[in-house]
Amino acid sequence: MSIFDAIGIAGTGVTVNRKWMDAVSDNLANINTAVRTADPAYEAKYVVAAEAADGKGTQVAGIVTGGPEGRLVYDPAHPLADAQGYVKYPDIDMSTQMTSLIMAQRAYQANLSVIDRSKEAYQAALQLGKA
Amino acid sequence: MSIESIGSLGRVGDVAGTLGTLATGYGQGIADTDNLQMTSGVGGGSGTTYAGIVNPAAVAGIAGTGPSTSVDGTSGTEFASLLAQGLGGGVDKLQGLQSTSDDLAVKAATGDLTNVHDYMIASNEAQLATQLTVAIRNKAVEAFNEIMRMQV
Repeated sequence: MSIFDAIGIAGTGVTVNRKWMDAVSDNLANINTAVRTADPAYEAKYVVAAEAADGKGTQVAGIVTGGPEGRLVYDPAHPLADAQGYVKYPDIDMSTQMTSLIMAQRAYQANLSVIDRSKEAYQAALQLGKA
Repeated sequence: MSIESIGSLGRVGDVAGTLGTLATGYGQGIADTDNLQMTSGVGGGSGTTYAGIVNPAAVAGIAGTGPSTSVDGTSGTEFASLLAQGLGGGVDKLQGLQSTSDDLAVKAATGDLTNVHDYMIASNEAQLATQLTVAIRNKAVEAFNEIMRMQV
């Protein structure tokens, strides 16, 4: 990867942002997942990015999860409702997730255009001296 | 890339060696740098190597080449070994990139590919490396032909 470092580095950025999009996708998919009040709610996933170990690019350092506490919603008609009529929903904020999704998408695209640009630059270098 | 090794060859080798070194400088400039030292790495690496090869003495050596017979006798083999040496490391690297690209293509076909961009990056890198290798070869052959056309 030594010659095409710029491409490799941008590639790590693409990977991290893809995982971020995966996490957001997971959170949004489970935003309406109700459970019994006694059970743990779905835990929101948050990707933590860090500098790559070799100093070239970035990597996912880990996934931090939100708490299993969730939020209680009064919905006596729900089949999973407890004696008091409550069910538990995961503590996920839709607008925060949508904002994260847009950020992840833009960052993904930014890294892709770095790849495109550096490829163009390398190819231009190969054309050096040709009329 | 290991193209720098060809710089030490004499006569015909020196001209094409210079070309090879140019290409090496290109590779090294990028290879030797990390994110923070981009400017100094490019300036230092390629500049020094280039100046070392294209000094007046080396050029004079080419001009002072002896009778035409001796050039005829050695240029062919020297050029062949030069080309093999010059492209040797590059071809190995190119082969590595291409096999990476092939592996990922198989994964894409079998559905084991988790990152789509990994394959696209690998195939682009293989393509670029191929273009670089071909460009260096073309330049070396060009230099050789130029010398063969020389009136003695």
